[in-house]
Amino acid sequence: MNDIIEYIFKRLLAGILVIFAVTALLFAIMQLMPGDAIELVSSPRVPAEKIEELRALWGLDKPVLVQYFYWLSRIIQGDFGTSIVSGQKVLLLIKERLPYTLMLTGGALIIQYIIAIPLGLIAAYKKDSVLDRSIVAFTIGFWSIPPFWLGILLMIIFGVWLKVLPISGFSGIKSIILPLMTMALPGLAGVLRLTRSEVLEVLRERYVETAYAKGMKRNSVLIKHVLRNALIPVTVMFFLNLPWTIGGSVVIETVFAWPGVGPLLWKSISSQDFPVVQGIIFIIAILTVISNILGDIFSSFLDPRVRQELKGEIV
Amino acid sequence: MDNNRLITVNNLSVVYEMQKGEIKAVDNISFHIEKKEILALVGESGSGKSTTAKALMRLVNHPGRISSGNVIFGGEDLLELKEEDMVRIRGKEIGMIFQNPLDSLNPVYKVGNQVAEAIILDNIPRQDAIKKVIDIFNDVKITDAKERINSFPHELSGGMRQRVMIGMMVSRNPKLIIADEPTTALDVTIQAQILELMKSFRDKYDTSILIITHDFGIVAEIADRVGVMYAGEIVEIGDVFTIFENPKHPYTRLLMRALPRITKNEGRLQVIEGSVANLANLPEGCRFSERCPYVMDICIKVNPMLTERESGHFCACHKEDLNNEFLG
Amino acid sequence: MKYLSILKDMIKNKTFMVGLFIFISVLILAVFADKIAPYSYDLINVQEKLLSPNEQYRFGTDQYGRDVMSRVIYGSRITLKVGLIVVAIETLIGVSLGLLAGYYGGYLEKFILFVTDLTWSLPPIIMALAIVTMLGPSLNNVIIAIAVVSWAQFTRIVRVKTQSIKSLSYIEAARAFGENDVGIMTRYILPNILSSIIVLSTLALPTAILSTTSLGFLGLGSQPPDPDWGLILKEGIAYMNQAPWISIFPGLAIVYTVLGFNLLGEGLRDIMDPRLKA
Repeated sequence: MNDIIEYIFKRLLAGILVIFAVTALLFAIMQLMPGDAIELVSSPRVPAEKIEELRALWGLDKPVLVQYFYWLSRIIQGDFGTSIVSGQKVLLLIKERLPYTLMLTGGALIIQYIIAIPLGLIAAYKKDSVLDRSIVAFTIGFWSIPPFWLGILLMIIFGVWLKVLPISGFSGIKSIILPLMTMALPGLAGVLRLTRSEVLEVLRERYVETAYAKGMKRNSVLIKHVLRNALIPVTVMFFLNLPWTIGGSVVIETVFAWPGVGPLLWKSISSQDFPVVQGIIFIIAILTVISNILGDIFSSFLDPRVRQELKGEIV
Repeated sequence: MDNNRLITVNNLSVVYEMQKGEIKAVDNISFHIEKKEILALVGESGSGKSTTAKALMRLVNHPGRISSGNVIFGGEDLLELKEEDMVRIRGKEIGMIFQNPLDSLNPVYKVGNQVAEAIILDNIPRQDAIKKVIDIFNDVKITDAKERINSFPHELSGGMRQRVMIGMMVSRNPKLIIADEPTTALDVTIQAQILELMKSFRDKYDTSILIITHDFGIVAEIADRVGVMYAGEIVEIGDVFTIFENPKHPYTRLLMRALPRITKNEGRLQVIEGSVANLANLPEGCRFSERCPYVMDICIKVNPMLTERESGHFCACHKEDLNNEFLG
Repeated sequence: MKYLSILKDMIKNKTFMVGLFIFISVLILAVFADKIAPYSYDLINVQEKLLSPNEQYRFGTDQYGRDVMSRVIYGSRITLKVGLIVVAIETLIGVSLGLLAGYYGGYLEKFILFVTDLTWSLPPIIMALAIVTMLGPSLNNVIIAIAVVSWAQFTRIVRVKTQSIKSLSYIEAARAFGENDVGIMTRYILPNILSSIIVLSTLALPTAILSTTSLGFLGLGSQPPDPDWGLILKEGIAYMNQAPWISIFPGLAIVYTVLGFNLLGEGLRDIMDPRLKA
């Protein structure tokens, strides 16, 4: 157990380092961009001295490194700064929009896994049946569909032709259906595929035969031995795929004008609203690093053989 | 005599449906096992012995299926039972030990739990089940039983894993244990211990054992009767002493000669010419005819039937008596 | 001899063949676009704007009267070019870094792993977004951005495989023969992992294409009037009501192409290296 804690600690440390590096890098990127927010917000008629004044006010005239450490010290205390464009506190802005993003991502993930795991199990168990073949076809098909196009297609079908569902913004339960479907379907195909192939592998294992030979009933064997083992890589992939899901959400929210974090990020990048961009990226970076670490932790927690390997790594 | 029979197999056939056609892995075999008896089924790989073992437990999977025959056990035909009834036979009445214990145990569960899982099937509460696991581990001579129940399969040596398997399959006191090449993946020294262990179970608990092997040495160590299989058929079966003294089938003779331990004479190991019969392309007559040093014309045309030579000793060969021709 | 049997396996594998067919069809479209497309992709004809699919304009026309089908056909050039270049770059970088990390170990390995982890510290789209925004929206920058966020998958696998091969005894023998490090890496280790690399690269193509079209959709890739499929899709949103075909057909093209590469990659993996599952 201690070995695992040590390992987690090391990964966390590495993760923190990575977050610093990323945010520093992004800081530098923002600086390298031509012009800055002040210029964009003010009209050409504003005299140059006024612009300089504003810059000084925002601390944009100081050297990059200083600005970075300034920002860093504040964010550690929880102060994400203020938006240059709108004047609101960055943290507030993000907090307003986060629930919508979580609604979408959380909902999509739940749908994906609740549907994909049982279906994947059945498809593998009844390999080559009609059900299995249709599932495989669905999987390959939907995995090749770009999410943003799927969104538009759904919009056209349900919003324009059939006119049954709203296609943009948030306006109650109905409005979440299309964005949710767009987010859930491609990912569903991926999870389904993985579950099916993992279950197929496990079904071939000798220990499944042993379980039957002991006298266990089929359903017990399928759940306690087959699923338990097949879900290990599926669980790990869940965590490793979280960053992708978050990224996908950003694009899809933009397509559907969904009031989540995505459009905010997009807008802030175009208007060079550094504090907002930095704040959002900071949070996303933390989430990503944590997801990756969780993926590693679960991979060892669920499979005792990996714990053995980990011990080797630490030694 | 019949009252002493534990399980009787009649005309059992198992086919595998492959792309090129059907292969009869087991072709119309019949045998029985008595109570407290150890029967060995010997043969090279592909002879159908493992498939037979699995068929008895109805664990033959796609693309294989049992195509004919019956297996009488405890007054019922196991092949006619509904799956849910077969479930109560497996583990409880008939247990099975597999060849490679590393693959046969689930790597993510502790071994103690895996054995307990079997015991619990008999509605024994978990606490008692765990205690019983410790007793079983002691029975199968696993040292430090109390600690070992918390080990994972990959933390144990091959010999210990096989003991766990044995423990698992005897935990519900089955009347018959089928052991499929139980010692193949193990060191020679461990082999002997495992065989001793199995014999002790027969002696202590009256369990019958069906042991599948390709090694006549093991047959000599442990079996009461032995059946020799070739290309899906039983070519000779009988009491182990009789067969060792006077093997009537050419294949049996050659198998025994191929063993370094059995040969009384010094000299080179006898190699059996040719390779195992191609089950997809069987000859019309005797399946062993292509490799048989005693082959006669009739062998190529007619497949010999099992006939009783002496009491309890059956052989399927056209040649009445091999004497000691050819083999010196 | 080995190659002949691989060829036979390829022909027998239906998935691979279908994927190959799709790939070749797209390739033909790209190479012979000039001959196949009825119109030029930037031929503006405002009087014929927003026409639904008909005899003359099989996929309809867009807001400037341009033939959508021709634009889609020419767009295949962009898609293929981008996809192949991106994967080539990420393979090159990823494999090289993986070899170095796995072979030398120590601080070099730690450093390479750190940098690689950096490229994975943000969701790929977002990272790519940031990079392209910094460098400016253009197709080349999209290529760079996607390659940067994708090399990690190669580095990880190549590193692990290199480590396991490195410890084999014939490597020691090679060293005793006087082989230097570079020689060992290129002549002993690389050939052994080649089939895995080929499979990984092919499987990386669909992701690369999806990512680049996503960025194109956000307006960060090629700029108008280039017939980038993602870009056409984006432009089509505004006309969703009147002319949905503007968005539908480029999307279908993307699906077709990505599907083709997926099948190609899957088939190739079944043939060459089934152990690379998931």
